[in-house]
Amino acid sequence: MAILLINIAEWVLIAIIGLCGTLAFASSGLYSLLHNSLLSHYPDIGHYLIAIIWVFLALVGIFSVSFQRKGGGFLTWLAFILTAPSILAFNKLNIPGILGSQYKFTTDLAFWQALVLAAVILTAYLLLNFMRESKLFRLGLVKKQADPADIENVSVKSHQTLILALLGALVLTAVISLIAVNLESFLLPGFSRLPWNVVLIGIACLLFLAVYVYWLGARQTPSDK
Amino acid sequence: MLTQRTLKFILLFCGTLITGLILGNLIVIILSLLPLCLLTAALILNPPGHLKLGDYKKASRVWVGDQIEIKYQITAESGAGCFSVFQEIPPYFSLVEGNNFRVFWKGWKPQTFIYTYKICCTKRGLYKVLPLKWEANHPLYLKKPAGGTLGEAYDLTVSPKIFNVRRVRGIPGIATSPFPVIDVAKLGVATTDFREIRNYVYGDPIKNINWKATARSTSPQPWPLVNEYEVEGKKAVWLYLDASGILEVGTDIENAFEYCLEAANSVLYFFLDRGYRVGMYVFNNNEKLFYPDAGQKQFLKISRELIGLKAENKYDEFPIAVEKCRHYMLGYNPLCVIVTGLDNRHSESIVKGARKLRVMRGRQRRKLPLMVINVAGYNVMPARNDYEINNPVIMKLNTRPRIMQLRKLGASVLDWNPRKESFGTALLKLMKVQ
Repeated sequence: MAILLINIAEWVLIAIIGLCGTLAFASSGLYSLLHNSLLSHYPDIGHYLIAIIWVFLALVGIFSVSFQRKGGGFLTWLAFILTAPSILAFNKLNIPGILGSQYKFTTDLAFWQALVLAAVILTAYLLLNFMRESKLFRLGLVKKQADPADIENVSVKSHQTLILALLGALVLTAVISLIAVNLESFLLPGFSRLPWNVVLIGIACLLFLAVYVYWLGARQTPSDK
Repeated sequence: MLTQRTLKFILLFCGTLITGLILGNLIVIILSLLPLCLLTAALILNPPGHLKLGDYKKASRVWVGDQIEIKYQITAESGAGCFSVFQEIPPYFSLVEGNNFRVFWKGWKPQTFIYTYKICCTKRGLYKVLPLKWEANHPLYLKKPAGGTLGEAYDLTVSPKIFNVRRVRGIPGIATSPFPVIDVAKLGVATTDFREIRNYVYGDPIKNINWKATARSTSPQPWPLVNEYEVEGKKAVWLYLDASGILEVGTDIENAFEYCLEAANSVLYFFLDRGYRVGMYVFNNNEKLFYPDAGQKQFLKISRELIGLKAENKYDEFPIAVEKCRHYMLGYNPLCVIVTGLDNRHSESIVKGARKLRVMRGRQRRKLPLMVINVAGYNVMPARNDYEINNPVIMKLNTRPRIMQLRKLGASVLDWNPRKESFGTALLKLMKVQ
């Protein structure tokens, strides 16, 4: 029963990764180009392109995770490749221009929408990765003939911890990203008034202090701890 | 120590961060924070550690067939995650209840776990109970598992089973075998060991009347009851144990030799418990002789030897054994008990030895004080098909002439089938009176 639930959870995650990748791709300028081209040649296929991409991603994911018993790495790569045109639209650097192309990455997504889609793909990948490890650990316990009740208990608690840790990491990332995005407007007025040599010396002192504190901590013997 | 997975996460963080910095893409830079935050949050956690063991019972001596409960109280003081505990079961022990491999989940607070299982001892011997092995895993598998041992190894002695031979009341009459237990001793100094309460007979001392028991009696015709005590001066018993490799018919755990040892141990316990002097000679082995002696000390001495006894590839040394014990046979005139298997081609030597014993007893017309316990291997081996079901019958018929020869010599032969009946029941059959 538990294995079935884990498998279902894996398939849901695969579907989510596929869906996010497809949505991000469908919002990019590259998709419009491809879609228009397909519609002119194969109008029947062109209408279902989004569904085809999603189903393809989901099938690749199920094949690699459930049948080949690998992590979600390959699927995540595919999803990121599809998300790339939308994400690259927010580049400060015009990569195609540097390469001599006139093409410009465009997307219908807002910054936060693109970020959320990419974050969901990465979170789902991390979840898939840990679930695979948990499954292997569980198989090891079954091979060692541990009590089924013990295995269930450990499996449930392990998944709970994983979800808690991931949620914590997501919240921390969100907080840091919020701060980072607004950091410029907060700090720049203050820093602009300071002379550059004071800022440099201050940063160096801060680093030195951090290293000293770390060294103090590392010097402690296990008995002191 | 970090695992490959941790390195993978660090690479993921570095890769996305560098890509984000090169492209000047804030989304990719923010994405790089996710594995970093997860790693930071996860690496703060440690796998369960500081495991301590509470008080636990160490069984040092048990009997074959006994069940032992192994119980430990384990306290995990630090860390969080799952940890497994495993204790290797000594060879020839079977797991009866519970599991010797357990997995526990430790939360954030210190926790105590009970690790318990039951094992059954299937073969005699001296075993070592090894300490507990534990292995603790990081809750997100980002650190290499930590491990160690808990407790100390200790010795466990498994003695051969003693069959519960019930008490046999002394019934006056001619015994079918010269078994000393049912010899009605008329003479001898009474000890303080209480034997039974019986009806008063003429000649009993008045001081022996148990007035309280008489008063409590509900019999319609009241009659005085007297206390009877064991008397001193019991007979000697000499045990010959066959330790030939030919008896090892069956599995490693259940074979005729093991049953022989159990029978010998039971006989030993039975007679020593009743105050007899018992001596033993292990034949078809390296001439192990135990001088006749009485008491619990003698039982422990011989029993300890039986625990480690191994069968040897010798077959027909019984006549030599009788010759070697001649001095004791003539001096003590004991009841001889031979524990052996007669269903092999070397059992002729048992008949030869019995003849020698007969010669040593002189021209007495009385029954030879010799009992042969035949633990037949054909009873121990399970039949694999319909044809093999008949094998024991054929083997039994093959053994019959030898049994008849022994009976002609005046010996009592106890044909014991360990699969059918207990040794106590078989022994009681032999001790009935005419």
